[in-house]
Amino acid sequence: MKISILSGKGGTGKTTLAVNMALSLKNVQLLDADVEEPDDYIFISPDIFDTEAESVLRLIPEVDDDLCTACKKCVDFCEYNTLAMMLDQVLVFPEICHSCGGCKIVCPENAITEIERELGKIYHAVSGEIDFWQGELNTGEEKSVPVIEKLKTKIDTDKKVIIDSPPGTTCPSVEAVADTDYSIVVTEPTPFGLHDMDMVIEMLQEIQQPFGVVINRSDENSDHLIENYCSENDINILLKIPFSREIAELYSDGTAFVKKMGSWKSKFQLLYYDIVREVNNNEKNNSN
Amino acid sequence: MKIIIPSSSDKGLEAEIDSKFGRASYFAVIDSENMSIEFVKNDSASQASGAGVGAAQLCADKGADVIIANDFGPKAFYALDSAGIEMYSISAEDSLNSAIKSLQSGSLTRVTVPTSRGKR
Repeated sequence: MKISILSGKGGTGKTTLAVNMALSLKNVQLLDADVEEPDDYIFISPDIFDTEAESVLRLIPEVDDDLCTACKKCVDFCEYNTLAMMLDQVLVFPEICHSCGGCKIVCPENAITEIERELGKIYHAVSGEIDFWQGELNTGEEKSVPVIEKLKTKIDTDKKVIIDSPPGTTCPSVEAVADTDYSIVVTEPTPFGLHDMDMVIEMLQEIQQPFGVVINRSDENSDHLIENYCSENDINILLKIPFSREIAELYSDGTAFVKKMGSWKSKFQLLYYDIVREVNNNEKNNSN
Repeated sequence: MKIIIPSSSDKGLEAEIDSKFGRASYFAVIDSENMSIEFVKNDSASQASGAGVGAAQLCADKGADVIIANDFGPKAFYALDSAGIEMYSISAEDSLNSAIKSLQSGSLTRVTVPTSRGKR
């Protein structure tokens, strides 16, 4: 079973849910795919940067100025403006390159070769029952999808797989969610939380991904914001994590709250098995 | 001398400067010899990425000697600097006309490093 955890805005509680759920289960794999700001390691494996990282490489063009005749075909071809022709010299802006290789193909002088560039890193650690993997985008890079793709090659389907996805609704989030069996949308009971959850749900419906909602920082005076939306749209609220000083203090101390509030482990286990049941029911209904 | 200024409309010298360089709506291409003006639509404005580079390419292709703008991101700066184009910064509230007058009176500051971290 592969479950992706996502949210519309940052700071709603993806990390809280991902790490506490992972720590409550056995034989589990946690993948931190929030590669622009991975922070699950703080709660799971704070020493992860001491381990050897695997490079995520991609190909970018390199131009041989001696062969280049400044015909500009490569510049005109690139949809992403990775190349520019200034004073008869091609400039390359590697951060925006999509590594399609098209510039190399259109060059009539064979002046373009592709060279490898490190875009990010993959870290790995084992902590208790958790097989933990983290993707990280190098500072200054803009394309996180290849890092997430590489991270997902580490998936072990014999384990319960939890993927902590990047926030938002763009390509990196879609990449993290792709091929997972179920998604959990984490939100908070605020107008912002509702607005950004609505965007995520629209994205998930577009790609026909089954999902449910978890309310973080739940509070009885404001939960109606989310509850009304979910009941109107026939969306299941799976769990509420309360707005609690104790949880917030543990978080700021780098401690996953299930470690100190042991009764929560069974709630996260129930959450997992509720999802397994729903996914199995969906599969049965689809095959009938 | 050819001066290019990002412009929010194509309505002559009284048009307002567009605060964005890469994603400006238009570029005003002004010949300082005879003050003739041509507006070029900026196709990079709606592109997913690399708008600054695309806009810089457009300006270089139009033969710019000088660009006056509110903001030059790092990629646009590097591209324009490589083409030997001089960059000057100005407040976005100005009109094209007053920008040119400021340039001619020498009151504009030459840009020698990118003025922002760039936008998406």
